[in-house]
Amino acid sequence: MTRELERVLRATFEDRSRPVPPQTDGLADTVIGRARGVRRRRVMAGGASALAVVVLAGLALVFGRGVSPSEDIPTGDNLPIPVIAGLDVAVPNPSDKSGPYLQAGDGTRVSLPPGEELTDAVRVDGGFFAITTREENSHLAFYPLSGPSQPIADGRKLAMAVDANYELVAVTRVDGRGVRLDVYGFDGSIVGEGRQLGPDAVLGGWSNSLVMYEDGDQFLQAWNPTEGIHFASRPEKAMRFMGPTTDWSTYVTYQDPAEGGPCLGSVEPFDDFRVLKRFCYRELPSEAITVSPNGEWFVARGYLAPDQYRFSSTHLSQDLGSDTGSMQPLPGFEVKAWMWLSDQELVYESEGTWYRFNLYTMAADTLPIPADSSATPVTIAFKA
Amino acid sequence: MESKTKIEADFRDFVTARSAALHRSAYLLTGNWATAEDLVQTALTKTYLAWRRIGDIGSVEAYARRVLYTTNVSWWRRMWRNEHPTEQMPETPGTDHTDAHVERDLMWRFVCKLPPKQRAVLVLRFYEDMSESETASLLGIAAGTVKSQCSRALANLRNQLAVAGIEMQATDRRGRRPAA
Repeated sequence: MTRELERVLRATFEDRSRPVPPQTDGLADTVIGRARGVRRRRVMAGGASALAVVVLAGLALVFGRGVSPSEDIPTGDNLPIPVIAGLDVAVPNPSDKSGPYLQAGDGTRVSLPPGEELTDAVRVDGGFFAITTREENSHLAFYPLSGPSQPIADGRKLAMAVDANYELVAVTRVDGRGVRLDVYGFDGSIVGEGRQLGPDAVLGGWSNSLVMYEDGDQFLQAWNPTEGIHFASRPEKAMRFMGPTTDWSTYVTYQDPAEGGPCLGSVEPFDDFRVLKRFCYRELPSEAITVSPNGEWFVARGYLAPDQYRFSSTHLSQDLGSDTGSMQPLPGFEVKAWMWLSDQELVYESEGTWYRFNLYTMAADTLPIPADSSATPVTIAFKA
Repeated sequence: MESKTKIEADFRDFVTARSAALHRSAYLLTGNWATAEDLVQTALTKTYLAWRRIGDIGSVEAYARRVLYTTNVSWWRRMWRNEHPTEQMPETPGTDHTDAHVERDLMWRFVCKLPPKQRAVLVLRFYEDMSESETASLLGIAAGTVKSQCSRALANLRNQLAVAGIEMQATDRRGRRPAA
């Protein structure tokens, strides 16, 4: 028997969807109640922040002058440290007497354990996630803007990545067998069973529900901790994690044999890291590149001459490869650190000055942040 | 900025007007009403949370639909390792293969076995009557991907129906619903 497949398919869909859907009375109330619950949890768990936040390490010598002890914290206009509009800072070691502290954009300060060095921090609604270290022992905790801190994890050389909802924290630590990867909930509970990685494993970040990391020769890996699902890329493609896209996929850079060089691609980790869309650029460097949090901008660092670089920005269309956008130089060379301040603003340090660059307007201004000569890490948390 | 009351009122209006349609689409994606209800609730929750950001009321339904489809794929992704597809064929249809109900029932069973992306593409193309570009836009994937996913899904269905004794042929009427 022969039938037109599509016609039967349409008829099947019509038949199946014909019954009256479930009663929807009260659905709006249910949904609104559920949404309020989500908002509450986000706030409680340090949910998505409306503030753009920069956490700077290495500002102690400059910002530390005149800092009051933590028990006598000034606020508001009397702050000895300039409150940068929209930016929150972390001060690792303001003086010998007081410990490092974190300062929200509104001037609220959170003291960290004295005698410990601040190594990383992420600002979220309601407080900060921060890692402090003393004699190789690191401590990760959530520090609310008010109230006691919530310890999450301890270990050697901790590194963290907070998921987009700020509800889960992926943590790596060095142990006797290599690097251990675990995921914690906000309350310190372990989510799923952790993974033992090689000694060279590097935590990349989150892509939707997946923790992305590189593990030596096995290259890019993706792990869903709540479901215990694990995916690995093929080594020959040399994939590197760039960030999540706004749909279901993940941005990576990889070696494309057909193009004979590196490409930026959106891939499907669960489907053997299949490349869905790609953007190949012959000058694409294999390092020092980033994709904006909304997946709209691609920023690369190109080499102009020995020790001289330039930033290049490309506006990515929905269909990668069909619209390469413009490549515009950003001011500054020898860029040491950069981060996204928002979906379209990139903050970076070059030759001792911090710039805020808007990729839409192609205009840059400077931020009143003294650069640290050692180019210590900078972390940013943001919400579009 | 819109007041909270105004947002809630607009949202209630939207739910009243469009929830039945969303439920139908969700049912075609999930295969059962209970999961469809959960999917719609989740999609509407995300839509409500994003209401201010969406801004234009005209964009709300598109946003809700996109969330509906992407959330379904996301759920499947979480569950797929726990699924154990069986090699056993579904019940053999009656000897009268010309019976349209049997044919559609069999078709539905095979549709329910498709991967969620393929299924989403089929629902958008052959139920929602969207073009390839509209489908691509809603799912956030390339038009070429829509074409390939659709082609694979149809080939899959055709093969499975053939094994069950029903030969189907493809038409070249790409995405146009026949006149009633």
